[in-house]
Formats: sequence, structure tokens, C-alpha cells
Amino acid sequence: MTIYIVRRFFQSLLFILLAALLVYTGVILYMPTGPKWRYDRLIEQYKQLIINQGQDPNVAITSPDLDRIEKMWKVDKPWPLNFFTWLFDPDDTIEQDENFQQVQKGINVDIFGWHLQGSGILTGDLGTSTSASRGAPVSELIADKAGNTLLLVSVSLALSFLIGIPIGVLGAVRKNSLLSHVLTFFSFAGRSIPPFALGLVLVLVLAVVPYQLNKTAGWTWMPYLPASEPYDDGQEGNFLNRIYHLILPAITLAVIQIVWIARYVRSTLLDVLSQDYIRTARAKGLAPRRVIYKHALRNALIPLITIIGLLLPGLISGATIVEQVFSYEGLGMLYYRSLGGSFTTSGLNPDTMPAPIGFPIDFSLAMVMTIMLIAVVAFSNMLADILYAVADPRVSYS
Amino acid sequence: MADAVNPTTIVATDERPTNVEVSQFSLAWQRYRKSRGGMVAFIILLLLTLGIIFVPMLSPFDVHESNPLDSLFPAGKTAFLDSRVHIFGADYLGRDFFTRLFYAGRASLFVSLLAAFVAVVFGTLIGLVAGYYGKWVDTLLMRSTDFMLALPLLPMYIFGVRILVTTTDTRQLLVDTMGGVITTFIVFVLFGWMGVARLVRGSILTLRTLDYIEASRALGASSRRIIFKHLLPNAFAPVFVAATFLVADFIIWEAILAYFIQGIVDPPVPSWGNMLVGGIQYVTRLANLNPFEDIRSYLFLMPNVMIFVTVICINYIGDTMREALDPRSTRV
Repeated sequence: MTIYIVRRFFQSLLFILLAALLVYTGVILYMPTGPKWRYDRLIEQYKQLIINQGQDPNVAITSPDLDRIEKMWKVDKPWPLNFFTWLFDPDDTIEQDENFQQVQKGINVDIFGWHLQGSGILTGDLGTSTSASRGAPVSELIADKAGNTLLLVSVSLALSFLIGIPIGVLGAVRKNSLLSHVLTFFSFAGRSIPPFALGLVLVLVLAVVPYQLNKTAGWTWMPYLPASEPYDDGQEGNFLNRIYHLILPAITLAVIQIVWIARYVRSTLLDVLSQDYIRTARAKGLAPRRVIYKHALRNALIPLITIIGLLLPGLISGATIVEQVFSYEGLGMLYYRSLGGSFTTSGLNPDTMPAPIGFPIDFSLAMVMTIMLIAVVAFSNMLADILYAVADPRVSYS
Repeated sequence: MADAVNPTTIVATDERPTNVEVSQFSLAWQRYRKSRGGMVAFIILLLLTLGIIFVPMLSPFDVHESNPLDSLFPAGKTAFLDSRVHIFGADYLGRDFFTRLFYAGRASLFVSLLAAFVAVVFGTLIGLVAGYYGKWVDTLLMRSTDFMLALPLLPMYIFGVRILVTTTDTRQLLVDTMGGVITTFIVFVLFGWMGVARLVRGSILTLRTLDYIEASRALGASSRRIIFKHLLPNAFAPVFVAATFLVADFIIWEAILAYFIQGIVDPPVPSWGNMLVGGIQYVTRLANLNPFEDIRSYLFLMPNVMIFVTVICINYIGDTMREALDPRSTRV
């Protein structure tokens, strides 16, 4: 088992490295408007300038702009060396601070007698944001917003288990009943609407219309939910206020997961119910309730541990859209903006937009967050595999 | 598919003593017809498809015809200049919403169908080759499939679209000719084939150890004959089901990408995604007005309804098909 875990861990690391290499190559080197593209264009422009001035075009070009891109993305090096030096570059150890003083860059430490010196994103230097939040260090941005997203994701995960498991159990126990058909319809319905549209419909039904009734129609008893922000102004420490603001986004995010959980519980429970030991339990005269909840459900829920690992990627990409819809300041919204998603949900008309590409990508933020997302996916897959082996004695990986 | 047996032989010997050959698909269709939900979904989707195909004949308006005097007309109102009726009203440029709604199905439903078809063909090929030839071919192909499968879809779609669309030499082809529909198609195929490949490979691995494959090999059948005559038809049932869910996913993803980057289908060409995103402003506008006076929110709700109806029908069809195609299913 230990050997399996260690092997699986290194497999995940290799996957993250390859996926990061793929993303780096696609985004940094081949994307138009990307760093490499801008670098090549700058060089071309400088060459043209030199030729226009009547100088020798083969002279080496130096410019602070080129230097900045080289230092940040290493696009001047051959592939795949540029990727690895972007991760860790032992040669690049000096930078200029705002007073034009030469200062140490990256790390310079001794570990177990090994002298390690260099810079790159592996040393924790994640760069600064360019367009999503201009000038702010990426690591600070991520640390700032992680709490909100963690709260949202965990609340909606808990919510989806609390709702999804009973639905799945009912679907399996009352197979072919009216209730089961209705529940099947709703679980399909949750999958049949884009998450942002579901969020907006919920805002319309639970926030906007009740608000209108409350304020303009004079129904002052009508409660309404807030449609945006993680908390009201000045209520940052108020936990109840946070939960109040969390209701709509958490429900929206949970709906997508509920479908998966309910279907999963239903199919595993149906599988378990058709097994011999259930027939034995029924034959010896146990109450049907006891058979289902004591004997079948317990065994059917074991594989559900693994589904947390499989749900995480979907939760995070769901959070990206849901947080933007509810302007909930978290990692999802940050990621949405760094990928050049449109900044507002209204006021921009797609009919008048010139090209279907959205806003500029914030490359340093987008790269770091994409690799983080890939890492979360890889490690949650690994966790799912390991938990499966731990929870189910029939599975062995040795 | 642990105990995948050829259902044709079982039924032909057990229940029908005569020599009448019943094909697997007519059997599945018999089972499918028993499900009320599946049949209703099938008929609704069929009507919708016919509507999308014949909308130029059904509607008196042209898709791109804009009558500025009809701007934001409510549902059921007659056009300003003549007696034609806007069934679902008109958008802010005075284009008939009903016509655009159905026309948008071509960019959403049909492109998703086509993308799913190509993805399934590609995935089946990969799965077949990996499962049949085994050894290093299998290892190589399945490792790359697993790699692709574990990549998060959202950034991959967005990066893919951006790399394709903004490259100057492909822009002419991808955006200007068919309004970005080809871009949608390419990214969906590129990141959609992996599930099918794994399914097919799994089926092939169990099927190729069965006796009838051994027998046909002993009779001197070529690899090609074994693959296309014996393996593929029996491995196809789960693929068919997976393909329907793929179509449903693609329709939803088109809408999500439309929200994310203001439409990968270029605006003059309608798609459910970009119509949905175009209608969002009429939802938020309600916040300042009495909701019962301003009823323009159908501009947001109607594309939603179209996506919802289509995708839920596809999901029902897929689910019913899964039961109908399952050889262990007893509902004949």
C-alpha cells in the first residue's frame, strides 16, 4: 500500500509537470497576444527602427521591455528549456528594485549540505498581476481570496451531500414510483441548465422579485436574499451575515453536484440491493427498513468517499462561474478575470462586441492558477484512488 | 461490461425458437418504446429538430432582418410596418426572436451533434486500436487518453478558443466564414473524445477474450474483419449512450463559453449561448423597475428554455437508451 501511494504520488507529480508544460507551451509560446508573441513583435519593431536609422541590423538589441519579458517568461531560451527555467533558474539571481539597486532574487539556502540558489515560480516568486488586479503580487491575491472560496466550496459540498444522498436513496428504494420519477426529473433538470443561467434565474426568483415586492409593492413582510458580495459593508466579521450571503451561490453550486451524488448513490444502492447477503437478511425476516438502512446503505455509501475527490475539479470550475455571477470575491472570480472573462454580467452587448475573444489574459495569474487547478485535479484523483482502497477491503493495489 | 455477451444469440436461442434474425437495434428499440419518458423526450426533440431545420419556411421573418421600429416589442405584438406577428417579441434591434431562437439551434444543437459524432468516431478508433493491438500501443494511447481526461476543461476550452481565434491566418477561416462555429467544433472534438476511447477499449478488452473471436480468428479472418464485423458492433451500445450525453454537455459548454468570453459563436450568427448572454442585461434591468410592467426578461428566459428542453430531452433519451441497450435488462 505504501509503495502504491508513493508511486501514485510521483505519477501525479509527473502529470502536473507535463500538463504545466503543455499549458506553458500553448499559452506562453503559441497564444497570440501572449508573451512570446509580444516579444517577437517587439524585436521586429526594434529591428525596423534600427534599419530606418541606417544602422547595422545585426547588432544585438537591448531594451528594458525585452529584458522584462525575458526575465519573467524566459521566452528567449529554446523549448523546453524555457519552461524549466521558468520553474527554476539557477542563473537568474539578481534583480533591480525600485531604487535601481541590485538586490538578491529568489532563494539562496543550504539544505542538507546542498547549496541551492536561483529564482523561478518554484521558489515561491509567482510574479505580479497585470490586468486582473494591476501590480498586486499573485501570491498575495491568492492568499487573500482563498478563504472565501474555501467557505463557499465546503458549504456547497456539505449541502449537496445532505440533499443528494436522500434523493439517491429514495430513487433506489422506491424504484418506479411517482416520487422517484419526479426526483429523476429534477436531477436531470439540474444538469440541463448552464450554471450561470441557473444562478441568474435564482437571483430573479429569490432576490429581485421579492425585493421589488418588499420595496415597491409594499409587502414589507417579504424576505429577500442578497444577490451579490460575500458580506454587507462593514460586516466582515459577522458570520451570520456571511451565511446569509452564501445561500444563493452555495445552492447554485450544489445543484450541479447533487445530480452526480444522487445518481451515484442510486446506482450503487441498486447494485448492493441485488446482492446475496441482502436476500439473506430479507429471508431471515429482518424489517425492510433495517435491511435497507443498516445493511445496504452502509455498504453503498463506502464508494461515496471517493466521489469527493472526483467532484472537486467540477466544484472549482463551477465556482469560477458562480462566483462571477454573484460577484463573490474569491479565487473563482479571480480566475475568471485572469482568463479574460467579461468583467460585468450586464451592460455589455455581444452584438456590438468587435471580436469574440473577451478581455486580455492576465498571464502570470492565469498560469499560476491553471497549474494550481491542475494540481488540485491530480491530487484529488490520487486521493480518490487511495481512499477507495482504504475504504473497500476488496480492492487491493499491491 | 464485465459479462458482455452477444445479446442477439441469447434471445434468438432462448425466446425465439424460429430462425428469425432479430437485430440488436430492433430489440433495443422494442425496449425503448416501452419507456414513456424516453418516447416523450424523443418526440419533443424530433419536433424541435424539424423546427430548427424548417424555420425559414415557418417564420415570415428573416434571421438577420432588423426592423428598428420593432425594437423590444413584447411577445405576440404585430410588426410596426406590416401585419407579421412577432411570436416571442423582438430583440433590441427589432429582429424577430422566434426566428432567431430556432435558427440558433443550428449553431448550438447541430454543431454539438456533429462535434459529438466526430469525437465518437475518433475516440472509437483510438479505443479500438489500443484494445485490439495491446502492448505498447495500448500503453501509449491510454496514457495519453488519461492525460487528456485529467486536464480541467474550462481553461483548456478558453485557451484553445483564444489560440485558434486570434491567430491571424486562421481567423479568416474560423471566425469570418461561419461565425466561429468551426472554433466551437474544433475545441469540442479536441477535448471530447477521451471518455469514448476508454469505454471502447474496455469493451474490446473483454470481448476479444471471448470464444467467438477466437473462432473467427481460427477460421482465418483478418484483423480488419474481426474489428469491424465482430468487435465494433458489440462494443457500440455504451458508446451510443455516451455520445448522447456528450451532445448534452456540448450544448451546456457552448452557453458557458458564451458567458465567459462573450460568445465563441460570433454575434450576428445566433446561438443559444450568445442569445442567453445578450439577454442577461434584461434580467438585471428588472432590479430598477417593477417586474410586472417590464416583461423583457423573456429575452433571457426563452434561450434558457430552449437549452433546458433540448438538454433534458437528450438526457432522458440517453438514460432510456442505456436501459434499452443493456443486455441484462429484462424489460422486453
